[in-house]
Amino acid sequence: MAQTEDMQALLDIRNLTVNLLRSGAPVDVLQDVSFSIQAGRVVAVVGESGCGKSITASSIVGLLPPSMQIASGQISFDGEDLVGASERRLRQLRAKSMAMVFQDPMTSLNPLMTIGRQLQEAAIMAFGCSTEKADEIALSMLQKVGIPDAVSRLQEYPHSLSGGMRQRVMIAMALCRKPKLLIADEPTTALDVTIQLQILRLLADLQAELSLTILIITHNLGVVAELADDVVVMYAGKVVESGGVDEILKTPKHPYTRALLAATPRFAIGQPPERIAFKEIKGTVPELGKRGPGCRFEARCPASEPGCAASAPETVRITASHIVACRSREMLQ
Amino acid sequence: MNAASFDPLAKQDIGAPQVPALDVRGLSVDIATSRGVLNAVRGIDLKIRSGETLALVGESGCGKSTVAKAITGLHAVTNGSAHICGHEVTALSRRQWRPLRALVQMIFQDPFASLNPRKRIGSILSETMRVNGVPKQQAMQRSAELLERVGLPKTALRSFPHEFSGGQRQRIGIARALALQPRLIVCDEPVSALDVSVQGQIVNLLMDLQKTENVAYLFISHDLSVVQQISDQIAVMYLGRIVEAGSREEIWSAPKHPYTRALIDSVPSLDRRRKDLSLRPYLAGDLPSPYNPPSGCAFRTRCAKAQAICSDIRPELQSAGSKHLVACHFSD
Ligand SMILES: Nc1ncnc2c1ncn2[C@@H]1O[C@H](COP(=O)(O)OP(=O)(O)OP(=O)(O)O)[C@@H](O)[C@H]1O
Ligand SMILES: [Mg+2]
Repeated sequence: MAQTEDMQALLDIRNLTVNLLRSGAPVDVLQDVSFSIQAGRVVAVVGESGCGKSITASSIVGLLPPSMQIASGQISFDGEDLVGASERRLRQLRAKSMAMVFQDPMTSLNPLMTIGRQLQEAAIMAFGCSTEKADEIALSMLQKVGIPDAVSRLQEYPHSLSGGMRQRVMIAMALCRKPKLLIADEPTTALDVTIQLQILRLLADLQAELSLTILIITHNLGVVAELADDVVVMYAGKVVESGGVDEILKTPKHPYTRALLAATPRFAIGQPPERIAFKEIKGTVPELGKRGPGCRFEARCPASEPGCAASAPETVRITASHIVACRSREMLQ
Repeated sequence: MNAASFDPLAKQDIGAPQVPALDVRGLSVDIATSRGVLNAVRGIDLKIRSGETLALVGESGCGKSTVAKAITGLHAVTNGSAHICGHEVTALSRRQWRPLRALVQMIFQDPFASLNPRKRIGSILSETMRVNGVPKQQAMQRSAELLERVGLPKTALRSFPHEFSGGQRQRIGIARALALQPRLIVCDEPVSALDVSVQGQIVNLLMDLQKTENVAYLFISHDLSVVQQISDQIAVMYLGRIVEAGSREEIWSAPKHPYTRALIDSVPSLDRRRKDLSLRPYLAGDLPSPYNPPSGCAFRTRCAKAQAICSDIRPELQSAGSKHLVACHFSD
């Protein structure tokens, strides 16, 4: 089930460090981030606001904000090095091989263009095909993502669609490119739960039908559980733990992963939950530039030991797929 | 809390404990928009006992926030009444509202937008007290107490909002809401913008404050995982109407409206995996346009149980057990 290092990965990120350049010394936004994605799998990157999930995605597709820079590390995609790739090559890859879907579809849809035109453009950019062929692709993708009356929808503008429908259009636009990798950054966060479930089902169906490889970014562990094969847990710019979905959710080793799981409420119909206090994680995430040399969770960690604040923990391999960055022996058992 | 030194309500009748903190009857709110009249709230009843929490849940656009605005005087009411601690508040002028401001306060979703970025926390907190006639010195001292009460250091008085994280800003918003010792706080999605670990902190703080301050909450949320923790009563709204209401235990152990059931079932679960997704029951389609709601039961267009009667006759909210109301022809 879980990934191992031996297989040739579709995406492999090794020791990626990204710096924010600002007056004074640069500060790291990502430090030593490593994980890989095997073709055909759904990998979730999970963590709280500001931990660097979106910046990880931006690094992959070559769209870092101008104030940021890859300081060291490798990103290889389908055997190709992306860190040294030209802007032109990255643009090509974004048009065809790596497609992105964001939390707010309106930021990537053009409000002045019909849905049909936008889908058509995506297909032409990816394949250089005729407009007739592109229209054909556009219609079939719109149908594939479950938009009712797809033919008439092609003539409509984004604003006339609901949030859920817009997200389906974004997914259709991504599929028009037949991408090798679909990166979805919080694709359901802005949606109501009932619509979120529709979109999760859609992604699962597409994954099964097209053997899509998906990198999904989310802060919601429930979404991780329902969709992912593999999970990468990030905290304050670092990967603290990664592994198969059951390894992370059932036998988490890192105190942060455990705390996050404990803070996530569980419930089901038929069992009125006890009205007890939430398990909170005390304190706050250390800010950019105020992150010491040691483990970044140290100040909030129930298992911290002498030494945790002084130097970063080594990564420990628990199984072929399960990796954790924590020095507490007790945790690792 | 130092109530002896500060009591803006000393001369006000805040009502005996048995007077509900909030009593809403037949509340309707129509909103005139460029697309026509929107019946955002269509005759709802709500009651919150002193010191208790009613959670109002439903999807975006169902009218939850309009209810909040209507009972806090931020939106005109078309029909019906709302009593806060026995005071009718639906047709008051700004001036008439002023003495009642102490009774009801609001906490908003976006803690940043709701705090003036150019003001220090000290003046943000003391402002409402000053307006209500509390001397400056006393207001500042009380502000410091409030900060401690919500878990922030006194030194925060001199800081500006941008110096705080989202969770800390929400604590400041809560401190501000508590300043006048309200009997009711309307919380409109107070934790939806926060991370899970911080959500827990804020929900715990709200629950803790409720015990010590005996304040009632109208807790508006689309997030059932938060609601399950904090509520005493739950009311579920769909297209401007309450479709189910009852005690927290009742709603959770035996939801009777298909919509409530779908809402609970839709929350992603740590115990399910991708292979389960295609087998899960789910609600198809979108919320219908509130400008043109379906006839009869507004939920019928997404309901698996819908029959002919559902488009002909709108089901009334009816008793379904001692602490439970449901509006459905085919309730469970
Ligand atoms: N354009 C930018 N300029 C400067 N700093 C930035 C910029 N974008 C992000 N950052 C900072 O980089 C860090 C990582 O941000 P990132 O957007 O990757 O977080 P995230 O995990 O995606 O969070 P969220 O869940 O809120 O989307 C944060 O500290 C953030 O403030
Ligand atoms: Mg992000």
